[in-house]
Amino acid sequence: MAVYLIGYTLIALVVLFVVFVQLVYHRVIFSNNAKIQTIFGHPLLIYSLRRIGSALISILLAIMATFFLIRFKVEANGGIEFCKKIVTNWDKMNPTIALAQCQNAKANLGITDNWFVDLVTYFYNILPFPKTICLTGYSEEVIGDTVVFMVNTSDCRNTIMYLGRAYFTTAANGQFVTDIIFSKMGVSFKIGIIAVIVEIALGYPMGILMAKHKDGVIDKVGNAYIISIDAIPGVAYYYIWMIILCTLIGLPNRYDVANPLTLLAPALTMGFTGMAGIALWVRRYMLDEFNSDYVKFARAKGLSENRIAAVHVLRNAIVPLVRSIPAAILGALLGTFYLENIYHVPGVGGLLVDANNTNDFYVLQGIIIISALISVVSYLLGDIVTAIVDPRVSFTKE
Amino acid sequence: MSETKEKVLEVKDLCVGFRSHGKRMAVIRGISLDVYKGETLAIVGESGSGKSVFTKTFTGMLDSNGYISRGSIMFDGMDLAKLKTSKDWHGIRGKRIATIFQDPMTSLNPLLTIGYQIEEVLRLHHGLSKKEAEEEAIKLLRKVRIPDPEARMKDYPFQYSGGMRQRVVIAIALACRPEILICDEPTTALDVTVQAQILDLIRELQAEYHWTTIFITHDLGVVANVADRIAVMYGGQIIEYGTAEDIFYEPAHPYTWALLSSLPQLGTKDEPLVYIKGNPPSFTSEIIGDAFAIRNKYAMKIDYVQDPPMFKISETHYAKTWLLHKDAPKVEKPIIIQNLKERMNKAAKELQREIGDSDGK
Amino acid sequence: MENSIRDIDSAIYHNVEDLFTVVGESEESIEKLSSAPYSYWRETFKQLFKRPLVIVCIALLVIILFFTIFGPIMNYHPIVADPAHGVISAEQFDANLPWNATNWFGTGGANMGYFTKLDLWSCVWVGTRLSLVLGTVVALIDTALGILVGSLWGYFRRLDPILIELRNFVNNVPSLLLYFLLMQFLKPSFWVIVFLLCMFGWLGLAGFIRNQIIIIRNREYNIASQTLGSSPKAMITHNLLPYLVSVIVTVVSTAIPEAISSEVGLAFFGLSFSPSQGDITLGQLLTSVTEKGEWIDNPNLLVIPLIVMIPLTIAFFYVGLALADATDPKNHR
Repeated sequence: MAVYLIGYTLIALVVLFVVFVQLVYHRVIFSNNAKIQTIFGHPLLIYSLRRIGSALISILLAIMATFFLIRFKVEANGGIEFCKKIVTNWDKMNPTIALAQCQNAKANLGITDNWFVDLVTYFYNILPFPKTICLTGYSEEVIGDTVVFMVNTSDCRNTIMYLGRAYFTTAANGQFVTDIIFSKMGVSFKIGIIAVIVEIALGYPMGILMAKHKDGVIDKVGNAYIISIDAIPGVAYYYIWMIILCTLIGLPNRYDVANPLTLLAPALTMGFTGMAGIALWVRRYMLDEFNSDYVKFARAKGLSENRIAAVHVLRNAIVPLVRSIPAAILGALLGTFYLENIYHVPGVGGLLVDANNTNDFYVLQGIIIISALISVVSYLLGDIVTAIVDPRVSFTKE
Repeated sequence: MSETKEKVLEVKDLCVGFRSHGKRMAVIRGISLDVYKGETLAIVGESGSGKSVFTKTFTGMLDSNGYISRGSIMFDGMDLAKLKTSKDWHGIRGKRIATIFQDPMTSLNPLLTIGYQIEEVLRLHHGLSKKEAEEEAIKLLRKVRIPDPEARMKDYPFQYSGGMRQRVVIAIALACRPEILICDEPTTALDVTVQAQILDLIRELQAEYHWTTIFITHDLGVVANVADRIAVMYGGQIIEYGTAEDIFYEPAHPYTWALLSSLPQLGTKDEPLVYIKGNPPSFTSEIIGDAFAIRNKYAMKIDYVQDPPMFKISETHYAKTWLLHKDAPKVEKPIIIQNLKERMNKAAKELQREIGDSDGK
Repeated sequence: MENSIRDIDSAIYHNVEDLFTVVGESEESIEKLSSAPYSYWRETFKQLFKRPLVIVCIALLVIILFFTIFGPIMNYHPIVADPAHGVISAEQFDANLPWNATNWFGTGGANMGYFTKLDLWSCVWVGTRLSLVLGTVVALIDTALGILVGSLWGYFRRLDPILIELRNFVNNVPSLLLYFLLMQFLKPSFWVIVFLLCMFGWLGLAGFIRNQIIIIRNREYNIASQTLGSSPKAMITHNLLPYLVSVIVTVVSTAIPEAISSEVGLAFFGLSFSPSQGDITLGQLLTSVTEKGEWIDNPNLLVIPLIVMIPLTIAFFYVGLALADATDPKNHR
């Protein structure tokens, strides 16, 4: 019970906070209190909230859309097709019992006859606060000559977010969708985080060098690389790296939990791809800054070009770039669809394809919701990081 | 008087070109000029006359597509025109020759504290420790009259007003006790009242530290207040130079006449404003004859054929116009120029009265 | 100094008097801007073909185009649809033949998804042709839709909430997931694939056009033009359209390789044409040879399609970028 109270209180507090901030910003309340105005009426706060709000609307739309798509698919052909898939040995069973089993399984997936109630229940289930989810289990018992289907509510669990269960995905067996996704995220993240490190460690120096030697050889080679990555189809490009890394250098090309070396080929490929994008923007922002007046003045102060590049230009060029770093790190949780399939990595990307091939809608929907949530959190963290790096953002009211 | 003065900078036949889209154009076309120690020299001209480019050669700050094609700039026994890499410039640029730019809003790095940006120079050129640099920076801020400098060291530029930022820029230039201070339109972006304060500050500090100031401006009004000597630039050349008195009271070049006539302060209410027709020459096409000829009411046939040489008017005063040739006809100067002295006195008195009025309030 | 005066004196020896008569300013040249006659398109082409790489890329595109049209005519082993096995050849070949007189690029493996023991020469050129057609159709639709919506969006700011929300939605939800969900309900065909590929591309373009229109509209010369009483029609045809034409040309040429790439991505997840239709694209070709690792035994199968695909996409993309630079009037002088 206490858990519920905490959860509801938290949600209520968040709602109150948002309303409060809006009221302060629009000067409905505390219009004369400078301190409260600067803290709660801060434009950055409003801006962040707006972005999160609009992202939440996107998520809401995505959830509604997938909800009805799934519903449509489940109810197609009177729902028999779906029952056939969900109930093992459908054809051999007593039709009444089979139908009862199907109804029960559908109820566990949150599908009853009333779609509106289902939708509300679904939103309740995915709201991230503690709740107890009970599933109806069943057993078959022989009473006299007939097989009787017994329903008993036994399987209850405390969870924070309930995204349904996975029945069709390989080795799923009715696991919670959240459990499957989170376990796959671990694998994806290992590769993703190496890739993020590689792309930052290589992309920034590459962009800096390109900007410093604009129109020189390094710049031209770098631009050629960036254009190639933009132009060549991703899949084709990944195979080129596979040929280089696995066939020529000899890295293992199939994921193996026991061998960390197997992470290397997909992670490096991902890093080499991502680094082009980073280099492109680092170069662009650096060149913008190089043309600014304060760099001219820094030169007039007699500072060396290296010092200007490192202390003045890079420092300022990084500001618009750091916003994307949280998104890159959190995005690593979701892995990449192509690489995980090419290298047989059992991560989120692989799960997605598996779920699609086996028509496991709840897993698909779950991945949509979680990736959308991740992008919301990334926005928030990105704004916070920007505020830390750029004194103008956290001080001024414009 | 200039004979007795020590030359600090000696420019001889300087030519600067720019490469652009495969074309070369001459932007500075043969300038010779001496700058004397401790004086305030103003370089006046329209935008596009090449005045900024000219002074950029003193600190090796031409844009990457610009180059010195001929001539020399002698400074303390060195030829600055020969210096190439930023290593060559180390110890000169920022230390012995400092520059402050037009726009104080953007001259300071928005993401570094004021204190850091001053200390940076002190540590680079004087090798001070962090603590020494901090103390010195506070002194400098006090010198340029920033109130409560200890607290304001930690502020960022956006927390300063335009005039205050320009003071900080001056403090940075001051940090190294430069021998030459180049002020590239230092007050153009500021309010008129702030302009006066900044000019006063520069003058006071110059009196204290005895540096040489080179003022670049398009505003003769500013020049009148501060300059000892004036050089007027047009089309990449100096067309007239002399002491402030020479230029204001005995101008010899038709372009200088035109510039002076177009000063709005000197006109009276019932006279129409005077302006110079046309645009300054573009550098894309070659200039034949006198660059100013096509806009010059007093142009002679020869102006369209041959570039005039520099004619000596007095020991201090030179002008580059065929009107000074012995065969040239005598021409009537514009009316405003004829009684310039009276007009200037009148304008000065009016200004005095206004200031007096505002002081009284 | 003395020298120059003597030179003039000798040059003008005959009538010194005349030279020193005051003639005043030169009225005709005083307000004239010293510039040569300027034609936008001539300058654009000059800028474009100044780069040798552009000529190389265009040559590459012409060569690839030539083979997509004439390659199958030169040496064609028909591809037919077989509902059971996907795309098959009407003739029987041995698996994994190296290049030879009959099969110029060799043949495929025994069991490779969409195609089995096919003549690679025919597959590569037929596949490239279909990919190109697909890419062009998608690029044209994207561009048309993008410009239409973008200009409406730029002029009617009330559309902002809807379209910005839509853009956020697309940014927040991985597009592949939406493809997956949609393909649960749709049967792959040419126009369905076109629909999938067009679904989001136009939105980015529309946003770009909207920003451009707002920027252009707020430029000083347009405000000046408006203040001086130019009619909206004149503003659009004289001030906005020339600028937009360059944007359009550029966007189309980069949208084609992007659509080709996206199709490769769709094919990778089996979302492209169904094999029973007898069509083959570059994406399906690539997926077929990689799906079961067939290319490891016979690298030709992967390398040859890549050799066609990579120059094709890069050439388009580079020409697009070069066009972007060349059509920008700011780079013209």
